[in-house]
Amino acid sequence: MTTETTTEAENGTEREQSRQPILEARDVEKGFGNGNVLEGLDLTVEAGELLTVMGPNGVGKSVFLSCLAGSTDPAVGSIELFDGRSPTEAQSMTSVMLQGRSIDPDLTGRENLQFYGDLHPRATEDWREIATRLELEDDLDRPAREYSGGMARKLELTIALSVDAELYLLDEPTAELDLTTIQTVHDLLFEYRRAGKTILLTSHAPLDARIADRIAFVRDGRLVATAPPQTLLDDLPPVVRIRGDVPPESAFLGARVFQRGDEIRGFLRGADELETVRETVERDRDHDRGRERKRATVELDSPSYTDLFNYYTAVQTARDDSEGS
Amino acid sequence: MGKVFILVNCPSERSNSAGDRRPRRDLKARWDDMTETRRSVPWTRQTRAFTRRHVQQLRRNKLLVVLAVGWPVLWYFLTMAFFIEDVPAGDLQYVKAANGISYGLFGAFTVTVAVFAGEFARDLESDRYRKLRAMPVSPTADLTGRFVAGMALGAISYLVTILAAVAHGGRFDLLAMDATAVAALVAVLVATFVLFCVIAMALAMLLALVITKPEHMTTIAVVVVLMAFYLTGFNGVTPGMIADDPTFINYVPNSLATRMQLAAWAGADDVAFMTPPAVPLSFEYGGLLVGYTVGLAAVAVGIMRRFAYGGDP
Repeated sequence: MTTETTTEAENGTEREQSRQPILEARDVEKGFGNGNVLEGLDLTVEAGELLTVMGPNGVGKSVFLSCLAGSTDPAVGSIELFDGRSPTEAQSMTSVMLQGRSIDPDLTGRENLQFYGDLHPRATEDWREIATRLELEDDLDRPAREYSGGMARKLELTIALSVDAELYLLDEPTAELDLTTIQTVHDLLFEYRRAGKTILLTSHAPLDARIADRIAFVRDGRLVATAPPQTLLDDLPPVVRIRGDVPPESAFLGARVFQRGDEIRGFLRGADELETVRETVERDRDHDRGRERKRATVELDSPSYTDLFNYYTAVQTARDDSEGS
Repeated sequence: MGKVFILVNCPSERSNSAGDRRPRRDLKARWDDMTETRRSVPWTRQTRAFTRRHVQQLRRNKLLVVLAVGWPVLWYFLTMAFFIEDVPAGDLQYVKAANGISYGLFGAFTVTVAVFAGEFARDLESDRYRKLRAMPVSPTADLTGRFVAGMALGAISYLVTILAAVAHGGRFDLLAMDATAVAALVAVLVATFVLFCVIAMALAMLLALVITKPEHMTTIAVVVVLMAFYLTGFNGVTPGMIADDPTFINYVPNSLATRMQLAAWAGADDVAFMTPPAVPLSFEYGGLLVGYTVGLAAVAVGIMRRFAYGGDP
């Protein structure tokens, strides 16, 4: 009985702790001469969470990560980690991978690992296992300048993940990796999360959305949406798929459509607009009478992670702009 | 079937040491504990890491190795062949020794500037400091590590040139001195050499800030050092080649250090060829050199803190 009570209490504590913020960023602004990259970004990360920050290239994801890591000072706003510590004060408990910024091309992979390992107070010998899993061990004695982009990424990941940190800040860790290696990286991140570690990664790859406990979409230097992946998928407007024709963009939400293979995808305000789109496509085809064309199909489809990315990075912007104007 | 790997020291097991798999009871207490312990790697270990990194880089840089060993020796022999004439037979061995020291320091200066400027500019340009700033790293450990590596290569350059001068018949009266005199001389030589390298380091860092193309840095460093060498009459060894009043060579850092070292080694009475002005062997000149060193070292630390570890502008 006592054991049960204790277990319940422990579970309760664990649930409570899992809601404990490990990182809180408020109104973070940062610019580099040509205007602000970050325009008042707010984000809270909870302990033990795997959060994927998504957004297209150039929206400030890497700059934001640099601010969280203490590498770049925000112009405005506050960042607190580990219950009130500044990014600099928290550096011994964080491990950072900044894409393409750490590898010294004049050293071998092994020498790079040794150099960064010697500088972090919580570095471990885990790099051997991680390098093996990422199939990098045979190349560790080659100069890093001979590495491909994917190999450099693996080395940066090995450096970052071989630190026994509480919080991992990973800037596009799966960029330039092949699908098999991406799966290995995801498996590694799952293991770290199961071990109670907190992971914040940036990405613009829909594959990285799948593994997240929560996704945060950044656009124009601001957070525009954040929720668990399934919640975001459930909240998406209806997705329409058209095969055999290219409909006018104006028929869709935000006046945007996206090509995926042999199909065109777009968003509708409501499912009842499907007929309107069908009629538009047919009307369009009537204009083209006389030309031999395949029959077009217009149907609703389940949203994918690519749809999710497209909606929050492209459609919502255009929608906001048009509705605003 | 593909291999299945298990992370041997998975953080879950590592963070709950001694097999303790209970849920973490108090994250805040844990964080407090973590920030109190192992805040950063000790400064000396950081310095060693930077030194080793730069030695590893230098080992692969064939141009720098050639520059360190071949460059000053080449200049020594060119000078002896084409610029030295009408020297009394008894003085020739001292002239060779003087040129050995002069070009030894010249080589050390070139190498230190080239190593420092090139590597520092490369790290700045590739934005490697963005990663280093995200770690608990001491800027002075970085600076010291670079300095030790650059100075080690500079010392090789210096010693190789001295050895070339000895092989060529230069006379260094070290063996004729008693132990106390040798100790005093070595102290002066080491001190002036280290100060000389600090001066070179600060100059290199200023160069790296102005010239942001690391690939041109070695060439530019060599040109700058050559200019300093010639404008000060072969680092102050041949003041006769300066048309105007050469007094300034006792106040410019590179010529001051070289003249001080030569005078200490040969004795003030045996270096008439580099006077006037009088040899700078007083405490005032020593103080001036230390002043330069402290000032320029402060500049170097300031540059490292501001431009490398100070965050993005």
